[in-house]
Amino acid sequence: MTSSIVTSFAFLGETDISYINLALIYAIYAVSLNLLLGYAGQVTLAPAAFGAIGGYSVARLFLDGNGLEVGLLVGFSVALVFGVLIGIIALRLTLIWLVVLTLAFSTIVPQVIIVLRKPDLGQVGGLTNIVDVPFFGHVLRDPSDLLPVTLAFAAIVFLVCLRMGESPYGRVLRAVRDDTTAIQTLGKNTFRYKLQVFGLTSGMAGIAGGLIVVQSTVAAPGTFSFDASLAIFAIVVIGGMGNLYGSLLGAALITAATPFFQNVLGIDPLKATLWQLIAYGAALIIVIRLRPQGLLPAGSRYTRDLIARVRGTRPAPEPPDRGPAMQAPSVRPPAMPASRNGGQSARPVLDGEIAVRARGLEKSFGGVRAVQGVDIDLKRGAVTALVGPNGAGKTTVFNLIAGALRPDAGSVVLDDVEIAGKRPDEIAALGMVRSFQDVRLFPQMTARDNVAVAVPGQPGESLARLFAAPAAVGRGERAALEMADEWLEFVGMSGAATTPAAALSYGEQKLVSLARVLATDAQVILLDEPASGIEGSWVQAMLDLIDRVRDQGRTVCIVEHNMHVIEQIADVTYFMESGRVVASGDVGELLKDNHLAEVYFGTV
Amino acid sequence: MNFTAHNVLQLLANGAVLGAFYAAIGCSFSLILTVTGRFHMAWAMSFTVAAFLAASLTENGVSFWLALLAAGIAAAGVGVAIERLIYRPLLAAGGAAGGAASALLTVVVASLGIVIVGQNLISLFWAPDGLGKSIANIDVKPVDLGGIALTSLDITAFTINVAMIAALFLILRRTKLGRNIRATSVNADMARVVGIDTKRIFLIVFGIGSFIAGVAAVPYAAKTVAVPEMGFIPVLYALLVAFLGGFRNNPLQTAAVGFGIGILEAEASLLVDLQYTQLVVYSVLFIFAASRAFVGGGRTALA
Amino acid sequence: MDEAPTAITPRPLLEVDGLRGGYGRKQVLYGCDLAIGDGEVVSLLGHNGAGKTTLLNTIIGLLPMRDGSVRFEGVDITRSCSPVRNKQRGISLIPSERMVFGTLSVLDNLRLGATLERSATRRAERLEEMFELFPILRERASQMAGTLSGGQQRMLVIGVTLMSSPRVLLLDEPSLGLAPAAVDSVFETLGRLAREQQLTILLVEQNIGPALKISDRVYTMRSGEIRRELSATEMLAMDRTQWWELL
Repeated sequence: MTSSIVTSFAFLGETDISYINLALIYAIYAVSLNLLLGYAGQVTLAPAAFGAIGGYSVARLFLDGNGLEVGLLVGFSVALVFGVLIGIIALRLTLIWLVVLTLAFSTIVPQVIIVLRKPDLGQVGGLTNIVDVPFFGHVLRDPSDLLPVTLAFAAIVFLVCLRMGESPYGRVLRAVRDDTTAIQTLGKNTFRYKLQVFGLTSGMAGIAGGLIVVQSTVAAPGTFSFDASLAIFAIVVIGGMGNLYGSLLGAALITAATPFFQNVLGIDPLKATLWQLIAYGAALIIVIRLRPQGLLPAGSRYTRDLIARVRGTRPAPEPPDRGPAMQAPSVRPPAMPASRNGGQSARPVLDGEIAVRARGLEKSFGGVRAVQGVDIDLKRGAVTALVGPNGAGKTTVFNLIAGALRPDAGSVVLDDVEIAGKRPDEIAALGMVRSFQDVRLFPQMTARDNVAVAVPGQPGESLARLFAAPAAVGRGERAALEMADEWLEFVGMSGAATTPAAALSYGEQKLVSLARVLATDAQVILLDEPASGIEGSWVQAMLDLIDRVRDQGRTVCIVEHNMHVIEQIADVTYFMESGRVVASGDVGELLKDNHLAEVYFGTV
Repeated sequence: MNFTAHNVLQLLANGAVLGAFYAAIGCSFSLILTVTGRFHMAWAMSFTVAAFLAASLTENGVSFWLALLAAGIAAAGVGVAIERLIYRPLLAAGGAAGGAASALLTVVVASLGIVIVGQNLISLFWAPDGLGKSIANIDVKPVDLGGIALTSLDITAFTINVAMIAALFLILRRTKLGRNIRATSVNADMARVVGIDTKRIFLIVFGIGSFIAGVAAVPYAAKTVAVPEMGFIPVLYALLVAFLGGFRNNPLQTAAVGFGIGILEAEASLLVDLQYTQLVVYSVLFIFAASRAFVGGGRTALA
Repeated sequence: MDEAPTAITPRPLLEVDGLRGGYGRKQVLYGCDLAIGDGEVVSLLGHNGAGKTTLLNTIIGLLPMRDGSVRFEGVDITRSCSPVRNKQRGISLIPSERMVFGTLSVLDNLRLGATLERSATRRAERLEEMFELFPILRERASQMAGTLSGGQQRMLVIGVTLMSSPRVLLLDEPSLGLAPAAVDSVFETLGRLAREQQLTILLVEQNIGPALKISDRVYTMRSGEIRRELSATEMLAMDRTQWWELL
């Protein structure tokens, strides 16, 4: 099994091969951490602590007469379980507490090993003499025997992480990283994604830990200390967060540093280790200061082609150099993308049929009754507007309907289903999606990915199908990208498809965010101040689009302060004051009402 | 040890000495974190540099007290330099892209880089023999306080640490500078609006916080020896005390937590083996952080 | 644009020309011109998202200026528009939200208002004047500012700002979140200050009615631009429902 590889590395001595093994093991650590940190945006300072679980499983089971395969399987599984447990806690923690939590975890694990007696883990000195470990019956004597094993595991971990990261699944992960709330409102169960990634990457760290024990012949607390976690973290940051190739490069560079200082610069071995640490510490500071995206940035040109091949799509073209768009896009009349479930013909627009019925909504904040007994109907195929002076409770009502807030009392019924108290992703799945006043696109993702991620029911979003049904995933991905392009064209933003959202002007971002909401296929759309903060010419483009969305048969609800906007597009307007609806009907009539004007503008 | 009244009192005294140290470093870390929001793990460098400087100075005949002062100033210099030369430009350059979360992560990564570089540079050039350095020019004598055995070093350390906490309290509560610091901490935008130069306040806070760390490090090192990685365990304790103490710029509250941990740790040796104490302390930190997930505080405190 | 405002205000104290600004990638202001005479009260009206708060924050120097100029007493201060420098000049901002130091005492809040004042006697005098002006603040001096009612916090922040004896107040939605009775008393106070202390005020308000009562002149704003300029009397003479058109 090893002969062909050994011959190709024949010019290398066993020491060199030992370094290659080490680099591959660090690559496993770093690639899996990168998936968690760079793609899913979940921070952990404890990869080495998960490595310890794998390392001690391998060492203990070997000393009890088992092979490496048993140790790795047990180590992977136990680390995975711990990863999920940490993940469950992490779901509800802000970043600073997550840093503290994982920092504590990474110091606890070596301490536990030191004090634990049964089954004996060797305490401070660790478990030694982990030599001649069998792997499926094949005894691993020398580093060159271990090489095929490390190579195989590094390849598997890399390919699995690449598949998870560069796929519809990974697109959701990146959206979770950029804005968890926003992706949840588009219908994705963020808990599921986070736990899967926490668990799997922790398991992979367990495998790396298991292999490093075989490589170094000991399982000692020092191998898995906080310093080791730091080194792994440094590899990911230096290599480039969100680019798995960068982590391979980083692992190679950092491992090569020791022999470089020793052999090339002729520094004695003890000092060479110190210089290596100084080098990567300094590299860490320099990289984060001068090149925060790392040596190989996410989505870099060199890796994009490779990634595209893995994804099964054609490589995306270079984004064109775009100057600031000063011109509002002209909205072309045709090209309304067909809605998945039939678009205009899906539901016959019955005059007066109610899509969303809110009754008796109540909400208090710290004793202040922000909303008191509000009843609102959203008519199917109509635009309903909420207006009123500041502090009247419009936004609160909007958030109650959207599911961002839970009402103290009252109900919201969407197509005969009670949705009060449901999670935003559950509400999205039932066919109601909101936009945000401050847009909240996923800044590091392209406009196309921002829209494509919203397409519901993609096969590539399931971890199992990602690996079991690649053909279906490929088809689904092509369909999702096509759909995304159609919606971008609909809002007139085709030219920006490959531009990262953060590089778009605010007006462009508003249009892309509309495309994103439409791509969810939701029949009820809640728009939070769609025309605020953008220039006059863009406002008109936005209003024309909303008009056409309504004509398609979708139900629209907007909160807006600009009365000119409401006059143009609202079919029904609710006027709120002090948490109550005080008038409703045609906006033209409401604007003629002197009393409402007094309410809105204050009495003189 | 047995559960006798004498043992309990003896451990109480030991715990008070330890607790004063935890209280001082906790106040130091907490001040920086609360006012600037920087998760300053490189705090450990101020601590270590101070201890090494004091060791070198006393070795060369400088008196303990002068060395103590120099160590505090050097520690302050390290802290101020890190803020001015690394954190501030770092966040001005790229940290704005991902908001508060990304800024926090950037600081954590940079500060860990600083620790790695600093610690190993010290290993190479300040402790090349790998043995560490001792603080000289200090006469450690046993002191008997009504049957409770301490050392003169314990008394000195306790006094210095308590004095620093008291001074910090007075600065924050009774001076104009302290008012400006508290204002910056509570509401930085409004502080700028009333005319406070918040960047300067950040530097001052790094200076004061790091000074406390440096001064506390000297008797700590005198008790054993100064080694390059000596900052790691104290920084964990400092952040434990800071996080348990809440983020209120109230040194008394933070100090109370520090004393509590010191005394508990000392008294715990009556019940459990000594080697468990660190594990227990880290576990407390872990459980406390995890509990934030379920009591809601994790979503509100600091970004 | 230079002549128009000077025609109304014989002695412009604060002049803004062609101001562009925003935050991050978001441009909000697309060239704003306005001028305020010494002792004048000017309201800036417009719906949410029109850019009023951004305009105030850019003038004071909390947000970067991308283009345009600001002059104070005829001197170009564009390059030195920082909150600290403006405070020294006598230009003060009162934000609409988070405007007190919540966990500090009322007394500390007031003292912070004069943090740039070097003379201790002057600080003490000023504090006494504030207590005369707002007796409630004397009663609550040792209470934490965050525990005051909304209206009291609004009074406090006005007091904090006046501690530095400013000449120009940039006032962002002083009625935000207040009960109607508190709104009345805040505007009554502002009107009194403008009259008695010859304060120059640029006022951003949604509550147009009360704002007009104390204003001399009005600018309307939409989509990051100043649209119209009218006198307060002109606007008050209109039918209320015509105001919809203005915004």
